[in-house]
Amino acid sequence: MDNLYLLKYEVISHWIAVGFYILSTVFFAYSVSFKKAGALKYGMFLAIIGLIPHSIALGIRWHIAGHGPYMAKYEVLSSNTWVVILMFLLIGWKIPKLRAAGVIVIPLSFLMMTFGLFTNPEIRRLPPALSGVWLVIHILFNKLAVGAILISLGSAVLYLLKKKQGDKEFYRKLPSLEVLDAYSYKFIGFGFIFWSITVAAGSIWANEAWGRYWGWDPIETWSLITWLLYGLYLHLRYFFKWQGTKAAWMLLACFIVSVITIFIIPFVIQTLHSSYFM
Amino acid sequence: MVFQKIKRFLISPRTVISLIIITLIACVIGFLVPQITDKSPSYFELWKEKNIYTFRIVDRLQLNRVYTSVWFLSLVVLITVSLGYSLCLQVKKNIRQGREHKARKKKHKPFSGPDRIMKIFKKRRYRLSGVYSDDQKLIFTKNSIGRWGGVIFHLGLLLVIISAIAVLCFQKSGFVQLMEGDLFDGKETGFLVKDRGVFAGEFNAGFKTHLSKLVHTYWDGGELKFLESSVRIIREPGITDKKISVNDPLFIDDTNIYQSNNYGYTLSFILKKPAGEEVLTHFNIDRAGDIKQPATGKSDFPLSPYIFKMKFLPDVTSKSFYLTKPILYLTVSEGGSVVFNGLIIPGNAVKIEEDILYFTGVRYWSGLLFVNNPGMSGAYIGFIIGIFGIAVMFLLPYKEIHLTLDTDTGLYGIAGMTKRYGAIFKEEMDEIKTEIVTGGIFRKEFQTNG
Repeated sequence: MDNLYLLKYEVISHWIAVGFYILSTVFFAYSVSFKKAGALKYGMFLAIIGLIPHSIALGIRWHIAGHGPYMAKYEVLSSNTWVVILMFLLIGWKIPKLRAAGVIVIPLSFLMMTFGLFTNPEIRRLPPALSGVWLVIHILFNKLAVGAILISLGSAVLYLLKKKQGDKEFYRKLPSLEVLDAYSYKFIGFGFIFWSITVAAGSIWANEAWGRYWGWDPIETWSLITWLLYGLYLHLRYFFKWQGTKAAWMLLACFIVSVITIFIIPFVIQTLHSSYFM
Repeated sequence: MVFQKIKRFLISPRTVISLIIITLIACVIGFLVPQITDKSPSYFELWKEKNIYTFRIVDRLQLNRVYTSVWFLSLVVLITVSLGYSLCLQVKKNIRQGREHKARKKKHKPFSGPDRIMKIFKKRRYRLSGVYSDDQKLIFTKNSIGRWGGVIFHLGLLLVIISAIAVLCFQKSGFVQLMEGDLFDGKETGFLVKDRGVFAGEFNAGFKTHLSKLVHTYWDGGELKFLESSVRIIREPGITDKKISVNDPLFIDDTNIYQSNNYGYTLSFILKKPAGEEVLTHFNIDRAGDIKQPATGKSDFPLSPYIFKMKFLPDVTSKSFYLTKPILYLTVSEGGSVVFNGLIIPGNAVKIEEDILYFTGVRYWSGLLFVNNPGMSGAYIGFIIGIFGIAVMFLLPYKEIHLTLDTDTGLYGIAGMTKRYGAIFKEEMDEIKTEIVTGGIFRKEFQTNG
């Protein structure tokens, strides 16, 4: 089968996946807005179904490009979404009480993917610097960090919603406020681990490729800012017992900075990462 | 007294939080204010002209060179001292707790109570670490290493910071454009661009490097696919042939040689003057980023009044980076007026005024970066230790459960402690309680502490 033909299937599969994720979002939103816990399982099911064409699309792309889906926005955002949704489904399967966090995780993920799908789908070839095991670790853990941060955000938003409208039947079915807060903390812990690995592997890779492990490139600076901010969050929790609402708002601030680091800086500023992200 | 105050200040939570916030602010400043490492000197000259007052403030506060400024380096030193001191205290505390734990373990006898109790905790990967009062009080622990997570992580971080300081002080690096067939003596004077740490001595690699060949391959669209320099390293006791490619540096003694993405063509000329004097010159021009465009360059010709403007096509018959049928569009000017404008191919000669210019040949040049970085191994070890530490800290939090049993009344008591995720731990304890009661081991809980 020729590549052009395969690419057509790749685009169609991507959009079918988006369709399922939209439907999944509708069920999650319905469940949280109308306090219908039963709708959550349909949301989860549709997200699982959506993951199938999404995997096919990424598989086709990998096959044609000859490298993993990490060159240009089109691939980066789609593969980020894939990792986030898979991670969320696994967490939702292991901790059913956290499924409602899908109301945040699924729409943010599919919006990220849809934005990517509207960018140039041209297959980009790898420059010589983009190779090696450290690059793979750097990229993989960055995607896992995005997933952990999004799930943590979902948990924090559920905390705030429950705190506001906790008397409703639906919210009573959610974990207690303390548990939601603890999950949010736990996933930020995971996110912090993954982010640290991303930064460390990126530094080692930079040293292999350019002979320096830190160069204060805008992306490096913002990665450090994000890492420090999460470090601040963790220290505030540890030393000053910041919990509950305060911690949830702090987490929202951390999330905004992460979005700037991951999605805004590489798009708008010429950095070393531009060669793969632009 | 003052010493005690300083010690207290160094480990105070407020100090730690303040240091993180100040570092954050420094990074934001470093991002927002143009840095001398990123912009050309003319940029700052222009800024100085436009707004002298803002420029002066920024310059005095060293905001245009944040990461090498006195205040930032002082901040890093303060962080290092604070981190190092709190690390020492934490290690002491953990060793003391570990000793207590060991002593407790030595004292306790095997548990001879109901097996099902043990099964419940074993299933959850808890270890029995103490039995007291004739099987009446049990202590279960999980993830004992979790107590060391914070220490391990901060130790790794400290190592990374110290390595960064070492890099700043002792790193030496230099970039050289080496032509095929040429020899670089490894000394600082041969570098085109160099960078030396505050306390670093003069760079001397201690060996000579000869570029035998530059290999470059491309994707169908013309983007660079692979770049490799074949070099000959000349040092005692002999000569060795090596290859250096992007992402695959060469390590020799304390020096690493990196293949940069910079490479291009070396155009060699001889200018013969009427008196018979000959001037040999090589012009290194960068390859064009776009395969369709010629490589261009402009330079003075040494020991002559001429300025050369070059447009070089490596293959005039097709769009290629390879030297197949090279041709040069040359414009020579003298004092503002053009004295030659035309095509020239390697091996040809043209007359420029009274002089004869020979275009003797074309070769490739390769950009090689020589780095002597004493802090790198420390940073790598720091990264690994640090990541192991965070993983332990957040994935394996230490948990301790105290179970009190009263076989006469069938009542039990349970209490636990952990440093992280208390609410989730409480849920786990609730599940354990349910298992104890539904399993018919004990009837009822008589006391619960979170």
